[in-house]
Amino acid sequence: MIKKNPISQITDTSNTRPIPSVLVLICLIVALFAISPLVYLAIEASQTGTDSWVWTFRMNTVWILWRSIILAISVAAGTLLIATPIAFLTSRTNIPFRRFWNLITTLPLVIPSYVGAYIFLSMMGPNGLLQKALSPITGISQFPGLYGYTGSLLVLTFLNYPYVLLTLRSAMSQIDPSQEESARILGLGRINIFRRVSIPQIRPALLSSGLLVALYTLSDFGAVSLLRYKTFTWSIYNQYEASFDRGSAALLSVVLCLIATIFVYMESTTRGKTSYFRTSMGVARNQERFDIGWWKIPGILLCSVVAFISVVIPVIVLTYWLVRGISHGEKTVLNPETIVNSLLISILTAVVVVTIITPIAYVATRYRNVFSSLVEKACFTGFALPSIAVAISLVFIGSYIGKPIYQSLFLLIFACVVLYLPIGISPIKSTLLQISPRLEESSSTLGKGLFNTSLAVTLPLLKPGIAMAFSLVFLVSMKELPAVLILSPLDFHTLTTTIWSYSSEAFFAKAAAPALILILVSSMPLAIIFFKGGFRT
Amino acid sequence: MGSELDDDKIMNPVLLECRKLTKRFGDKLVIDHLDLDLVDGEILSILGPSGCGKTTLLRLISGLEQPDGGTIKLGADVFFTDGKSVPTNKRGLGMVFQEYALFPHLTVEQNVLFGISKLPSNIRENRIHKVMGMTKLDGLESRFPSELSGGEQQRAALARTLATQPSLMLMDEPFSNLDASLRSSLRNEVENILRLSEAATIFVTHDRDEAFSISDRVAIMLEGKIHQIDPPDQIYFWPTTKNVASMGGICSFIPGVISNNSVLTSLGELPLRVNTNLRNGTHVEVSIRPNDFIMTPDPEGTGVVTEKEFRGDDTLFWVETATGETICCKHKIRTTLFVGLRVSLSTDQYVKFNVFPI
Repeated sequence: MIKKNPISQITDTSNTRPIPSVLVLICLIVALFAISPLVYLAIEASQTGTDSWVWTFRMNTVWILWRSIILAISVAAGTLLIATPIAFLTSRTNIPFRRFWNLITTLPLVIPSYVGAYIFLSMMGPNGLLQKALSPITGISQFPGLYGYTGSLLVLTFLNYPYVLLTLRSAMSQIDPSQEESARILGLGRINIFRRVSIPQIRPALLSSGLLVALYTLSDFGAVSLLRYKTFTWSIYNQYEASFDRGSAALLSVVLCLIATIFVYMESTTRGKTSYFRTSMGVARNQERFDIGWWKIPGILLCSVVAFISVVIPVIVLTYWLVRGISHGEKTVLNPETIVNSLLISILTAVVVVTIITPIAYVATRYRNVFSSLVEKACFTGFALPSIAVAISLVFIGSYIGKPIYQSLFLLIFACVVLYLPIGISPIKSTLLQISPRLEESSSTLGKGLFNTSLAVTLPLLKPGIAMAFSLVFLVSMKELPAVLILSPLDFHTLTTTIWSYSSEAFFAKAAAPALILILVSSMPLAIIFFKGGFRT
Repeated sequence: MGSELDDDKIMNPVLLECRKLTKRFGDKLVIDHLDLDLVDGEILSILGPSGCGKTTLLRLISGLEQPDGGTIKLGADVFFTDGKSVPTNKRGLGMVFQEYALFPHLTVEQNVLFGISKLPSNIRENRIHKVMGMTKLDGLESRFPSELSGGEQQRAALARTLATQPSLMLMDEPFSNLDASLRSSLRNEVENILRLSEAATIFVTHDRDEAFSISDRVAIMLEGKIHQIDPPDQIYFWPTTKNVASMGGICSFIPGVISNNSVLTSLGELPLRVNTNLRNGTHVEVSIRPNDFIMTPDPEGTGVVTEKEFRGDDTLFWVETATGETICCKHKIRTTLFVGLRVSLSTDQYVKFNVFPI
C-alpha cells in the first residue's frame, strides 16, 4: 500500500527547522546511555595501576592480539569464498529452487556460535561422534588439531557466511540492468561485462561484508572459548573470572574496542561507496538471469554441501543428542523458566531498542545536521563494542552505583540495548527514508502537531520498519551469551547460559534440548523477516 | 480571470503580508528581502524558473521552513517576526503539495477527515459532503490513494485541504505530476473549485500557461525576488523588465534608439506601447513577440529564415534580419516556408512595442 516515492524526493528528506526540544532531550539521553559503557571502560582502564599495564602488554597479549586478528581475517576470507559463488548463483543465474536456496542459506543466522562450537566438538572432538563412527574402520582413535584455530575457523565460517551472502545478494540484485545493457551495446561480451561492470559494483559490498564478519569474529566469545582458541574475548573473560585484577580486563577490553573501531571505520568507509549501485532515475527493470547450462550441477552441489554442513548437520547432531539423552534417561527435561527468562530478555531488549531508537532515527533522517549525526554515531557505539567489553564495563558501573542496580536485570537489559541499538536503527531509518516528509508536512498544515502527526502518520507508515527492527533485535539478543553470563542476576538462568554451562562441561545430551528450543524460537522472527521480503543486514 | 482586477477586489483588505523576507541555504540567498501582498479571495500565481526560490517562499509562508529575517502576517496574526514563529499546525493554512502527499494508509474519506477530526460530527459530515461534491469525488470515499488516478489524487488532496476551510491555500506545482493531456482540463476544474471555495490562493508554477490561465495576478519571481506582480495580460503586454518579458512568453530583443514616441530599429520605426520618459537618443532594447511581425516570402526581402519549429497549431520561425539580429515569428496557416527562404517583415499599425533601456 505504501507507494515508493520517486528518487528525487527521497533525497530531500531533511529540513532546516530547529529540532523540537523534546526530541533533542531524548537524543541527548539516549546518546549518553549509548556511550556510557565505553566511557566507563576508558576511565576504569586509565585508573589501573602500572602492574596491570605491565601484565597487559607483555608478550602473551601480543600473541592473543595476533591470534584474534588472524582468525578474524581468515574467517572473513572463508565466508567470502563460500558466499560469493552462492550469492551469484542465487541472484543472477537460472539455478533451480532459487527461493529454497535463499531461505536455507540464511538459516545459520539462528545458530549461535557456541551452539555451533558445541555441535562441532561433539562430532569432531575427542570421543566425538565422528571418531566413534570411524574408529572401527580407520583405527584412528583421535582426530588431531581440530580444536583451536581450525575448529574456530570452520565453525565461525559456516555460521557467519549468511551475513556476507545477504549483503552480496542485495548488492548484486541492485545493479542497474541498464548499465550492463549499456556495456553490451558498447560491444562487451558477457565475461567482460561481468568483470568490468558487475564486479566493480559489488566490490564495496564484498569489502564491507568481509569486514563485518571480521568484526563479529573479533567479538565472538562463545565459539572460541569452547574450542579453546585463546583470543581477546577469551582472555578478558578469564581475567574477569579470575577477578583479582579487573583493571587488566578493562585494559584488554579497551584494546579490543580500539581494534574493533578500526574495523568499523574501515567498514563504514567502504560502505560509503556502495551508494552508487543505481544512479539513473526511472523504474529499474528486472535483471537478466544468466543461463548457466550444465554448470547448474556443480552449482546445486555447492549450495547443497554448504546447506548440509551449516544447517542439516547441526539439526541432525542436536536431534541425535536429544534422542540419546532421552533414551539414556538423562534429565533432559527443560526448565521452562529458562525459556521464559530468555524470552523476557529478548522482548524487553527489543521493546526498549525500538522505543528509543525510533525518535533517534527520525531526527537523523529528518534533521540532518551536526547534532543529529553525532547522536546517530553515539548510538552506533555498540557496534564497535564487543559484548564482553560492554558487560565488563557495566559490571563496573553496577558495582559503583551499588545495590538497586548491581545484580539486577536492569544492567543486563542495558547492556543488550547498547549492543543492539545499531541493529535496530537501520531498518527504521531505511523505512523512514521511504516515507516522504511531505506527508508529515501535510499533517502539520492540516493542524496536527509533532505528537499527533507521529501517531496519525509517521508511526502507522513506519510499522514494517519497526517490525523488522524488533525481529532483528529479538533474534540477536536471544543468542547473546557474554553479557548474560556476566550480568545476569544470581540464579537467573536462560537458554544461553544453560547451553553454555552444559556444553563447556561436555554434557552434550543435556545441552541439546535448550539449543534446539533456542534455534526454534529465534527462527520465528527470521521467518517473519524472510517472508516479508525485505532482508538486508 | 485573466483580466484586470475588479474594483471591489482592490478594495478588499490585504490578507497576507510578507516584508523583507529572507532565507539562506548555506551561503546561497534563496529568498532575498522579498515583499509580497495578497488580497483576500484572489488567486495569485508565482511564476519562475526552477531554483528561483518559489517553493521555498511557500514553505516559509506555511512555516515548514524558518525564514532568516523579515515578517509574515496573515490578517491580524503575526506568523513570523524577529525569530518568533507560529508553528505550521497553528497557522490554519492549506497546502497542496506537488506530489499530493495523500496519506497512503488512509482512505480518501479518512484523508479528507484528517484535518477536521476535532470538529463536531454534524459539521464534519457537512464539510465532507460539501468538499467531496465540489471535487467530484463522490463514490470514491473508501478507496485508498494508490487506487486513484493522478487527477483523482490531485482532487483528493484539494478536498482534504479545503475541508479545513483555510483562509489561504498554498499550492506547489500541483499539476506538474500529471500528463500533459490531463493538465489543462484539470487546471480549469481546480480553478472552478477554488473560486467556489472563495479561498485566497498562492499557486507556484514554472508553467506560463498555467499561471496565466488560472490567476488574478501573476508574480514573476527570479533569483529570490519578485520582479513584477500584475494581472496576466499586464505581465504579457507591459513587462517592466527584460527578464519579465522573457518569462511572459517567447520574446526576441533587438537594439533601437528612442525617437519621439517611437523607437528606431533595423526593422524600421516602431511605435511605443507606453509613453516612456526616455530621452530621444537613448539606446534601448525592443522586445518583439512572435505575433508582432508578419512575414511574407519575398526574394527581395531583408530577412532569412534560419530555423523552423513545427508546433501543431502554429509554426515558429526564426528570421535573421539584415543587421544580424534574430527575431521569432509565428505563422498560423500550414505553410511551405522553409529554412533559407528570403522573407520581408512587416507590422500592422495596431501593434505597439515595449523597450528596455540598456
